[in-house]
Amino acid sequence: MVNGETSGNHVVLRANEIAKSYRQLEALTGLSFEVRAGEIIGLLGPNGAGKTTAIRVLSTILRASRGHFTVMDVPDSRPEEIRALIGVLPESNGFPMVMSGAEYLTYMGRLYGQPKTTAEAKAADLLRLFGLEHAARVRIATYSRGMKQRLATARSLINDPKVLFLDEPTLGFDPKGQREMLQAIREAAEVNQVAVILSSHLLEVVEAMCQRVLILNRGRVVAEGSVAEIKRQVAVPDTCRIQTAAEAVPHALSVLSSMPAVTVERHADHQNELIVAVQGRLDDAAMNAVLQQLIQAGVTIHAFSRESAGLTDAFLSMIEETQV
Amino acid sequence: MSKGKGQAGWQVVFTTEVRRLWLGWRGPLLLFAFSLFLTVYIVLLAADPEINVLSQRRMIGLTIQVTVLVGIFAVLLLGADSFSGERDQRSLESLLLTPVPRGQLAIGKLLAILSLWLGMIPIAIPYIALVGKGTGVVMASLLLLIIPGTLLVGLSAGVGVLVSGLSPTNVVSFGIAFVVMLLLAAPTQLPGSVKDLPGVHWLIVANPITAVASYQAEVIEGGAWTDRARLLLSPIIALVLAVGLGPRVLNSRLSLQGGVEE
Repeated sequence: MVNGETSGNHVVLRANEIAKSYRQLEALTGLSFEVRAGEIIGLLGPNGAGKTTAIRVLSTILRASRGHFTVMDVPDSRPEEIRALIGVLPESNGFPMVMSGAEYLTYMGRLYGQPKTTAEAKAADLLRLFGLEHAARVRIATYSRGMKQRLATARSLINDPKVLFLDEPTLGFDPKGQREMLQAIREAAEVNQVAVILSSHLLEVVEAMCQRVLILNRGRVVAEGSVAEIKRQVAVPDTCRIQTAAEAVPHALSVLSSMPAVTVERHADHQNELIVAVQGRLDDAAMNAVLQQLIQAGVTIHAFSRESAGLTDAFLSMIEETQV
Repeated sequence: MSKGKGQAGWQVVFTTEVRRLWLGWRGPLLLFAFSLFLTVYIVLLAADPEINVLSQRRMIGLTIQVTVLVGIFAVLLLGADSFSGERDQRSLESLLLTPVPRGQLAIGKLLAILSLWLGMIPIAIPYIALVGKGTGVVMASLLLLIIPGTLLVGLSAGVGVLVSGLSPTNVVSFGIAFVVMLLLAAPTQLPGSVKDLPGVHWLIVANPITAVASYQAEVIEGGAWTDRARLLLSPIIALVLAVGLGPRVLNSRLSLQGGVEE
């Protein structure tokens, strides 16, 4: 799914000025946003930013101190109905260790009102989907961390949720498991039109998965929009790397430093490499001007690569700004 | 929620918790410990009539009292662990995320805990029959164990579940629940002379555990079942409060952090 495709989908979650405070501590302030069916929205922020609090309030585990929200038009004053519509992968997962994976998922399914046979079939499907069928009858106590995380993810889907909250979903996965997990989330969003709210410290995961991002810091939303919009908001410069002969580097530095709006520095590890940034955007014209200047000055270019600023750069820049 | 008829939430919790109790180690281990304790107790109490100065009826009364007290503390142990145990092993959040009303979670757990008492009663029967042999009050003793005893055990389980639901950790839950029940149970050990002091009688009547102990003793000693039935008033009221109001309280107060403000 790409940006914009979700615009025709209906809103499944609507949060309006949600706030949560613990005595003197304001853990969350003025959280307002909407999520549409099939959309994946990222929740970013440093530790203590309010991500987990936001998920706990929206999943009815915590009561909001102020503000309201609806899930599929069900108001937060009817939490049991909301819980039937959502799936949650909490940050920390515990299980009744004496149960097997199959027993546990069946139990959870039955708590969502499913008849026993339906819950058993659903549990078997999910165990297969998450590669746990071989451990279905084995006690959870013997599961590895990654297996437990898969089981917890399977549990979050046991009721075919309309909205899925995932708090650090890739925690405990090896790279292969992480890729499979993200694929399963994408499929849930695309095929079943599940709205996903994904909180992760792995910014590249959020960048790859999410159509929109909310950046929280100290309980407040400091930025909201698509990844591209957020990068524009903080004007993080793109850079390019230029490789030349080591002896030509001083000359190249002097040539580039005479160019207005160009900043250049020598790579810390690779002494024959220059990192060039241009004030504003490093578009094609700016890049060509840099290269042309170097070639005209007789600098031989061995290699050239362009690097776009990532969400990580934007995130760090934004967090630093709001902490000043 | 999926279509089709599933069981009510409390039934699902009840059946699952019963399986966990009995197929896990806790139920069988507690029953084994209980039967071992009763064996030692009866051997000490009745094996050598020459050193035993108690009347046989008094021995039956004590046996019932001890059985009920063990039942009280055994279900208290399970009750005090019910929610705070899940809180400690971080499995409570997924339970709270289900659409089952929290009061129903409490009812399911409470009823499952009481199945332990149902297991303890048959174990106590042969011991009471042995101690009461030839007295003609064995049947009455069993009824005194089952009816008033169940009031107290139900109360204890209710207190345990309520305290557990409101406590931030298992340690706090066990601490509070055991202090409460010890304070209630301690007066059963008061010497007879203290019981005759002015005002103490009303304390005995108001305290569910001492009220039941007095009632059981008087019926075993030949009193009519109805004569002192008012002694059962406080345990009935306490049971209704703990079992009736407990789940209602937990319906709105059971939370992820327990006692911490949310």
